[in-house]
Amino acid sequence: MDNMDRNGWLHTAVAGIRFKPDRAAVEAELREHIEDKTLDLMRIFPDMTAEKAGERALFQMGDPEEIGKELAKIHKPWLGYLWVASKWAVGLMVLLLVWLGLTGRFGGDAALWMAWDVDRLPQQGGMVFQVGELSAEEIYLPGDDPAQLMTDSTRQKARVMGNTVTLERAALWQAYPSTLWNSRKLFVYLRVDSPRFWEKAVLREGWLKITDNTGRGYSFDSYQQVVENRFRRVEEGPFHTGWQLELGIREADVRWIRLDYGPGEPVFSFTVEIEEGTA
Amino acid sequence: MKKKLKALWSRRPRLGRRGKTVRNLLLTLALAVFVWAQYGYPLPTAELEFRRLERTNLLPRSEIVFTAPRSTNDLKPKNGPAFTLWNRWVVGTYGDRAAVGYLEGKWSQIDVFALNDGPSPVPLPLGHVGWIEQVESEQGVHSNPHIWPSLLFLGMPEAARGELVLDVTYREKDYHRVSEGWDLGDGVWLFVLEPPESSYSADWYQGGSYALALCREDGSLLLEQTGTIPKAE
Repeated sequence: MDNMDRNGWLHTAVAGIRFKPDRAAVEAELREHIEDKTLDLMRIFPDMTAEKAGERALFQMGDPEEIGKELAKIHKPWLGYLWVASKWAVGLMVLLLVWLGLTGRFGGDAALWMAWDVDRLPQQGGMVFQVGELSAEEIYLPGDDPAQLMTDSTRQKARVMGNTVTLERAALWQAYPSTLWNSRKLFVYLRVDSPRFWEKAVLREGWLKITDNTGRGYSFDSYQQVVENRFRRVEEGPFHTGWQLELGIREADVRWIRLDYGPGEPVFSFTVEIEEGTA
Repeated sequence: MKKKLKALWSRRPRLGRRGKTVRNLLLTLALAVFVWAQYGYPLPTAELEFRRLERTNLLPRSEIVFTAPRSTNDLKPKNGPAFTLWNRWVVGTYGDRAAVGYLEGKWSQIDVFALNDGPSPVPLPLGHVGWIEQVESEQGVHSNPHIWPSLLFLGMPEAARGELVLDVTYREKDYHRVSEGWDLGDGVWLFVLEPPESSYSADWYQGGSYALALCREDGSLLLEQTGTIPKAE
């Protein structure tokens, strides 16, 4: 068979495939198919010359222009280019990540990370003076420790600027054994949820106004307190942040604590009832 | 164990080109989001960043009254020298409050200040202005470059000239500063304040008392006001 004829046939058949790698692959496959056909014909008709068998094989393949139209319909160029682009994109991303790693860009506090807050407990616990360091489970879940005076898991929610703020849990502990000080420590776990992972809420200590039923205010000035008041982030996930308030309560006549949050007018408010003996 | 893993690997579903393209694109998207996160999820405009700061700080949506959108903003007021305000700033007002957004990626912050009725001072913490003061002397006119802290006044009426006198005690030292205001338009004026000689914090002039005087074109007094520079809430 005349190679020019075969090459011409193949060229016409694949000319409609605009994506070069696909064109080369299809041409190779068709060429192999023609060669197999030629060999089959020579086997079936032993008297047939190779040239004749080649011509017959090409004839049996069909009209190259018609085949070319069908092949062009199947092999869309944009899919091929997208395939190549996707490979480059992954490669570039991996290189970028390596560069970020080498330049120390990876940040965040892994200790606070929690993909989903299924247990409604913070990642970090706290300190009760006469008891020691406690985990979040020990602080907020009812237990046998006589120093645990109260636990409260009734949720309060507020919707603020597309975020949901939830007072998840509260717990009251006896921080000091001495009746002279009678100092108790209130733990409150707040969580802020947002569906927008690129906008995680920040709660600011300076915007938290805390008062009780007697009208007393609570500050974060540690020199004023027996038990240090603290407000800090204790958990973070893609769609939430968790915050813990630790508040020292000295007086025995405190029945509730009110949390108002916001500069000026509060954007949300929660009240925690202080009921000892509900641990 | 190795054999089991090899067997599992050989039984994995084979993806065609379409499947591999989709896989690659999904992987690229996931990695791109991860990279975006490492840079603090930057958004394309200063306004979008400011709105996000409002939402993440649980503040109500404000009306934007001033924007310095780029890291270097070359501005020309109606009645003052050309100056440079560094960093991206957006200031918005809601009710009797002003929200000042300092946009710096992961280190962005928003501060809230109480407003008065009428002209209200709004500090720009970390808001440094670069400008050139033309000083006349016997030897001629000299150019003195300065980089000074600044503050805005919002709600200003139309005036030809404004002068701010500030008195503040900072680190047990008294400072008296006089500043000519620059009209940025839309009722927003900028005042630059000569800083203390030694190192100072961004809020050094907050809490100080001020006297503001605005004059008309003919030099007559339009408005006189005294007050206190608010502190961030």
